[in-house]
Amino acid sequence: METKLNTCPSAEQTIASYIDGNLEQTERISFERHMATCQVCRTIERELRATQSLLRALPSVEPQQDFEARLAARIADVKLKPSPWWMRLTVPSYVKPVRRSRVAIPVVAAASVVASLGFVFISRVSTVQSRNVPTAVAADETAVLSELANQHHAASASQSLGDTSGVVVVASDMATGGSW
Amino acid sequence: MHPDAELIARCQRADASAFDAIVARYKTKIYHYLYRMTGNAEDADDLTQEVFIRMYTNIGKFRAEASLSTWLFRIAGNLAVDRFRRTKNSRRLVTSLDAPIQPGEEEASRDVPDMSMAPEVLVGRRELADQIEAALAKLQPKLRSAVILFDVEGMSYDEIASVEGIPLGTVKSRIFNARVALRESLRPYLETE
Repeated sequence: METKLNTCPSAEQTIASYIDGNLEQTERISFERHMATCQVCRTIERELRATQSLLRALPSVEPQQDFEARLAARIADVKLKPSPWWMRLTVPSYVKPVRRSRVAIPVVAAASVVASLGFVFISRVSTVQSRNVPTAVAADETAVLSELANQHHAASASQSLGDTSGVVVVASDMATGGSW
Repeated sequence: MHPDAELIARCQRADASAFDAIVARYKTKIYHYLYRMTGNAEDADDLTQEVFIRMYTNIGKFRAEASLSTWLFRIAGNLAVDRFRRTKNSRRLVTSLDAPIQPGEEEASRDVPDMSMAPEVLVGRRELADQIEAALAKLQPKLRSAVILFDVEGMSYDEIASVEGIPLGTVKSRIFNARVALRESLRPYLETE
């Protein structure tokens, strides 16, 4: 909740700069002359200075004695869990791997390879056989090939999803992050 | 004492002692800022650790375009705001001055202290420090951060503008608005004469 002062915006900025010692000498002298005759500005200036004094008098606090030891343990934990090699090839270090996807990517990749090899093998066999078989048999093989092709496309599609769903971009801590 | 730039360069060459030196130099400043931002020691400790872990994992990408201090406070500020968003309304860290007194709560804990005492003495009393923290907790995070960085951490307007990535005028405006809101919350404790 923000509370507006009972004064004009330009006076607010002047009071703020005066308190923080950021007025030029001529501006400062001019404002002090104004305050000598303005009870409202005098009161605001005193109260804001008192507020600042309370903040500055807050006791200092320090982290616990074992801060470094606990930090070292957490960093050692980071070292022990490097990103998978295929992520390190293309993914920057601020992208975190999600554990549940570590198994999914190689499994999908292997399934895709098997499906591709099966597709090529059956294609060659069917090409040789189709030269000497009746039309009805060739039609059945076309259906089988169509099914295999569908499986291959499905496997490829799921592989692509696995690549992108396996990472989470952590943007909040970036040095180049936007203002907040 | 080694300058920050030298420590960063050594850190980027995987010199662990340089990382330790950076932690020793900045841990109290960062913890202090995060304690005032979050209002409790547990979150401040956890987030301070997280700041240095983020620094550790991203040190290779650090360029001398900003100071190390600016970088660390920016990471800390972003983490604090993220934590605040996640835990918003899930708990009340401190008691508001004008909140109704709950059963079992001692009325004496909200007594207005003797105004003849200096602020340093007053905040030595735990209840006043609690009320200042309550007043800070009521501020929007962006106002809270600006006023803490200026009045508590002693940063300049320019440094705050770099940390928060905002124009100088916005920094002044946030600090001023924060003080005005704090003045209302802490009016019973203000010693103006």
